[in-house]
Amino acid sequence: MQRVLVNAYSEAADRQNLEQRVQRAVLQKVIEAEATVPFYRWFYARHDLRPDRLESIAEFRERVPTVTKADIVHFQRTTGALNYDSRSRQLHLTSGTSGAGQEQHVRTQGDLAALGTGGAYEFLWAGLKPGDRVMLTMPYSQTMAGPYFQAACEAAGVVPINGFAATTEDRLAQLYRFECHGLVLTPSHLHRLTQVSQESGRRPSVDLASLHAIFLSGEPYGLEWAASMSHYWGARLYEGWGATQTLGVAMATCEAGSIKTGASGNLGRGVLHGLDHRCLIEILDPQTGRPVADGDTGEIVVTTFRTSGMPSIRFRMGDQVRRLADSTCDCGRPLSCYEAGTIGRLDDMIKVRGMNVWPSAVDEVVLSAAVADYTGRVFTDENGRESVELSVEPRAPVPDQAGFANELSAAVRKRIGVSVQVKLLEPRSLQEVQFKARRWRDDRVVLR
Amino acid sequence: VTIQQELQALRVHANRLCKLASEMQDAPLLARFAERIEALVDEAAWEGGVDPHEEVQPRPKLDHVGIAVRDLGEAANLFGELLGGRLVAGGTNDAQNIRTLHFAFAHGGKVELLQPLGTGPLERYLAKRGEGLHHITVLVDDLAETLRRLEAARYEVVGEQMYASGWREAYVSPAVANGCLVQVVQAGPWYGHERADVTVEAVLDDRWEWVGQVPRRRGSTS
Repeated sequence: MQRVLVNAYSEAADRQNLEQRVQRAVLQKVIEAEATVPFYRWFYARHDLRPDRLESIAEFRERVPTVTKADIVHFQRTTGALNYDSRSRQLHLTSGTSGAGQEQHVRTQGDLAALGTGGAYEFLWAGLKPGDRVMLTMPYSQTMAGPYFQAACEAAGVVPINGFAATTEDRLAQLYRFECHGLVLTPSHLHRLTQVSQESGRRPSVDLASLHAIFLSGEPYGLEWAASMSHYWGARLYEGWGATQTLGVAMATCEAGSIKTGASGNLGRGVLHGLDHRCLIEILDPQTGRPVADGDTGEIVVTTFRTSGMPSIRFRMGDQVRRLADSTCDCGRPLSCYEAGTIGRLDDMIKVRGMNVWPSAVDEVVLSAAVADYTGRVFTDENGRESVELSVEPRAPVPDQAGFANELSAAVRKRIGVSVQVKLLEPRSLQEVQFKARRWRDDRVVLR
Repeated sequence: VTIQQELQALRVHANRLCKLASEMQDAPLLARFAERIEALVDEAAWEGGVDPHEEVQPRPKLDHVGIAVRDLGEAANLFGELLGGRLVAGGTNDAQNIRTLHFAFAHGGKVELLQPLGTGPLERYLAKRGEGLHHITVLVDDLAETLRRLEAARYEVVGEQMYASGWREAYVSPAVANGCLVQVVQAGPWYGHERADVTVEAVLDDRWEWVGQVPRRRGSTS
């Protein structure tokens, strides 16, 4: 496969030069953050860190403390110092519904100029050309997935077709109407869109010849499922990983895509490349805080170079990924490598219909009612939609079963923002939990 | 001029534009445009591999002294071999019919040796005055502002020109500048970058030309 160079300065650079550049950027970013961002001034004072005394990236890894979402939320709640000043141009909100809160990220004009660059690598590596049309399905709100992809289109020179407010059926129609070349969505939504498309009798691999790239993000997915999607749509699958804290895409698959087919037809995972000149990606053992070896899985910890309003410096993302050797991909880029299709949460968070759902938040609601125990299941319903079912065992017989179930369903929805079906079980029908409760099962089709 | 040099030059200009616009009380919209331009240029420079922390030399600065010589090779031996100057640039300026070599010394001193290749102003200068100091060059941030100050003080300024590369220059006549021709220049930071591959022999052999105030290998575009 021919390598698609998007920027020779970053993709054809000598690895040693790249590392020197990264070291300068990292050390400068810590100094800048401590001088200009109230959170980091407070955080580093607590950890007795003097950024100006750091001299190497080794010292940075050794001495700069990692930051969690909880650190930032705590600081923003208790001090009210949000770094709003005349440099603020946007406020980005993280999308968590964990109960840990949503931290705010102030964005400056400089941050906004950098918003779409990472996503542009993803689009252009996949072969999109200026003027190509890409359907976006991510929501537009203070949680920034939609605007990030919009900015990525601008940076790549491709035309966004905004389908975020449309129904699945309308999105399908617009894909054809605008003869889209690319499609951006979660694996779950691709599954749903595929089902709707099949029901309508469309054959996109034949009658939507323009479409050649499908960009997945937000959820892990299975190889067989991915291969079937690629075959049905007649398009290669690609993947990007990023978040509010990384100002959009920080890892992306190259032209090789997110699944590989071997000579004998066997399927394999593709490679996500770190955009190493834009952020430092560390994969750490969450228990020891030490870097994991190639081939092992650990937590993604990022330091962003192109954010100034609220930079992320050794920010623990709570996502886990499998680190691969730098030379894993045949493309030869001097960029770090990670396994595509498998990035998931380190904790037990489940992403349902784009919302982060922590089982602990559901526990809080359900177990505070007259309930002995429950199990949760996320699955793909007969219409291809993601659904959540709670099988609940009341503590005592319930006279008005329908009323009880509806009340509980409404309380859960209010807490986590996602509708759930509640099914009542007979008393003592669930096995007693002896150790750590594992109440949730994920039966979604996309994981096959 | 490489794309990195252009981007670095743009960063400096965009930064200046931003400062100017933000100082205006009655044009906040222009200030926002300037801010967006600066942010976009900065992002492009980052992607182009420009180190944003590379210091731009403070100005005004005495950049170099120009010395008119009859034998460039002999003068190069004196300022390079014997006095320890480091060759940083050079080439033949076909338009002005001269050949030049730039030798840098520690802490910023620089000498430009100029030899005429035929008829022209430099050849006439040598015929009239003989070898010696031809000009001094002062780099400034804002040529227009410098010229305003000079003219307000009744110094005659001549030869004001702007080139496509962004190089702007003007001269203060020796008649009013203590007998010395003073070249006042505004240039982007691309100017003055050292070219390690230029050699005295290659310049004397006419393998380098001097275009837009930078050396360029004959037959190449960079």
